Amino acid sequence: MIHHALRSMRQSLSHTIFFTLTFIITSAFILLYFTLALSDEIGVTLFYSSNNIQTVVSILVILICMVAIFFANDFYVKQKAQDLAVQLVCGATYSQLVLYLLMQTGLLMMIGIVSGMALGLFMMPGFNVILEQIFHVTHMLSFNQEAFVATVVVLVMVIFYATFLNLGYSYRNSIHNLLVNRGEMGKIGFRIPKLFRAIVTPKVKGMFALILVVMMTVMFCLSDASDLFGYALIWLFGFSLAVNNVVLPGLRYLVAHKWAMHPHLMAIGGFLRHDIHALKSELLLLIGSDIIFYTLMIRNVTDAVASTLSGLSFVVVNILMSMVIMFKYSSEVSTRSQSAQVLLCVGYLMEDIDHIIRRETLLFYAFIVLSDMIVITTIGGNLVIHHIISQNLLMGMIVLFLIPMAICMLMNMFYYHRVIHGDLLQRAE
Amino acid sequence: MALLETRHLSKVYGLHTDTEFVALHDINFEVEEGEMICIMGPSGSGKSTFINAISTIDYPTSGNVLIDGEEVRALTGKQIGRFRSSTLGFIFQNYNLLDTHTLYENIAMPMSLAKVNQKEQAKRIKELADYLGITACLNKYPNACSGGQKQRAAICRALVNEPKIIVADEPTGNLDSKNSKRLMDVFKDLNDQGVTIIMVTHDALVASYSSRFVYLHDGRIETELRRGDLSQDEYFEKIMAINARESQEVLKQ
Repeated sequence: MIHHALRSMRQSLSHTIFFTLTFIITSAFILLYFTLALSDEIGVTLFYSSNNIQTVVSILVILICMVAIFFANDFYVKQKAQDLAVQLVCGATYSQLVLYLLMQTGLLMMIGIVSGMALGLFMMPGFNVILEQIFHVTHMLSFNQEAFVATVVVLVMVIFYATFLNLGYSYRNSIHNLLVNRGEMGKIGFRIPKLFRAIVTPKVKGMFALILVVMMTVMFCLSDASDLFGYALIWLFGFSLAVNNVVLPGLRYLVAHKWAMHPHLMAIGGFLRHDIHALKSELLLLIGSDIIFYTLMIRNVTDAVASTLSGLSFVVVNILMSMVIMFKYSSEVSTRSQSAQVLLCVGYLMEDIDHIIRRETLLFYAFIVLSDMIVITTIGGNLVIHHIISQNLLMGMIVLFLIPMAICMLMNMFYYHRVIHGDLLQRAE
Repeated sequence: MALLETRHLSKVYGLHTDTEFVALHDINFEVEEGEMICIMGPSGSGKSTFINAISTIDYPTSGNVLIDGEEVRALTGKQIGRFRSSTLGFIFQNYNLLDTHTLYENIAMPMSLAKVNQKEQAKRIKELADYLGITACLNKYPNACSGGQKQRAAICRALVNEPKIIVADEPTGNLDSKNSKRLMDVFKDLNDQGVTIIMVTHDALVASYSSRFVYLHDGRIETELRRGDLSQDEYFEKIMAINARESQEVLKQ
């Protein structure tokens, strides 16, 4: 089993490298975060909760870190679905599958955590400079043994949790589903009364959602800082409705009517609609976490140290959420080589497909960035006007939001291209 | 002039490697306009490789494929794309529909490539969907449709640009007997209207609808049979006999 596990890692080298890189980056930022949170100035401790705002921020960062690692692990294990199916066919027991997966994730985790911590230590002086420039606090980050322990404990817990969750996934799905990579759990819905459906049609919902989004965006610009959190939550609700009732049906209309004579847009529209639908929860999580960290920054505006922690949390969370989106998107496109084959049969050329891949990824990330930027810039603009945060801080936040998104977009483009070309080449040979 | 012709067609997988495998050996073959050809043979005999090579899905290792007298390899990428969308219609065993697009959008795609305007697209899709009985599920995604509905949608997509040739790889492979019969009636109807059909199948009953039967073995054409004046029953029996002969030879070994 150990031999099989190591050979499987070698065979899917690109996935292995992708997965390890995530560990390295996550470990580095989690270490930086804990170094700051557990510093004497902030005062969060591992075993004693003082119930203050810093502890709340720390818990939120840990939760989002868990989500990031979960999606990375989920992506990795789903690529292993066929391997797992073969092991099950050969009569592997649950404990042998645990060994098989933990052998792989454990080894990568060790490499990732050690390298990530080294990277984190290397980045500390640079972060100290940034913190000094933006928050005017000096030497916040320095070597802290407790931060190392906290980072290792959190990451190890998350990885074990995610691995066991994925093993459950393997056991719940039939071998056939694993082999054809269709491992999906049944969805549970609830019945909406007929009368309600008749009155509240998708069009009505869409109008309502648009009104909410526009009104709340205006309120972001006009209201007091203390009311922003409430408006932001209503905005988020409106935005979620708008995605389901305006954006997705809108794309459907465009594909069938306006883009009917534009073969590239026709293909891109369908793929994009699928991507947005599949990644809607992650987008809401990204915007929701940004709203929460904004609120925390506003509440701690008089306390430079706590404000620094919230600011760094904003950066860490945006990096982790960018990675979450990158991995979920990668999972979505990992089976698209079949779609490329279909497009070729219909009459598209390989250069058309390359163009479609680039445009689709670009438009998808543009949608994510624009949606979040509405919140970041309007709320941030309000806070700048009311002199609650500086213009530099807002600019810094926007830049630190855009950079990881841009890197993840490029990595997704590269991966998508590889999936399509690699598989088509393999078939041709 | 033949509509489609192959000259000394060969296909080798893994050329110059340890796993080199010759899938097609020097095949010379002609297809006349309006024919309905069925290709049969045991697994690994090169059936799918053969139709992939003649339909520009795959390139042969050596030899020529001529369509309307024009060498396929001499065409530019754009010409091949245009040729696929206007002259060929593909139907596959696993339907090959895009799960991300509705049936309507899947069917409209070849017309989008052919720059057919939106009104004309809607008209053609409605006509074909009515003919094949899938109007009710045009706005559904493939994963919400049955196998029969998906296959009929794939046929709509193959027919929507009124192609000269339909290439079908095991089109009834995933269908029950009722849907298989319905599909073959549609093929017969199309063939009567002058569409050329080249089809791979394992099912002798399906093969009995063809006008010419080709039996491949180890990458070579072993037997060819024309239906001519034979009734479908007589033709079916002859096809069964060819298949049985192959099985008997295996048993003797």
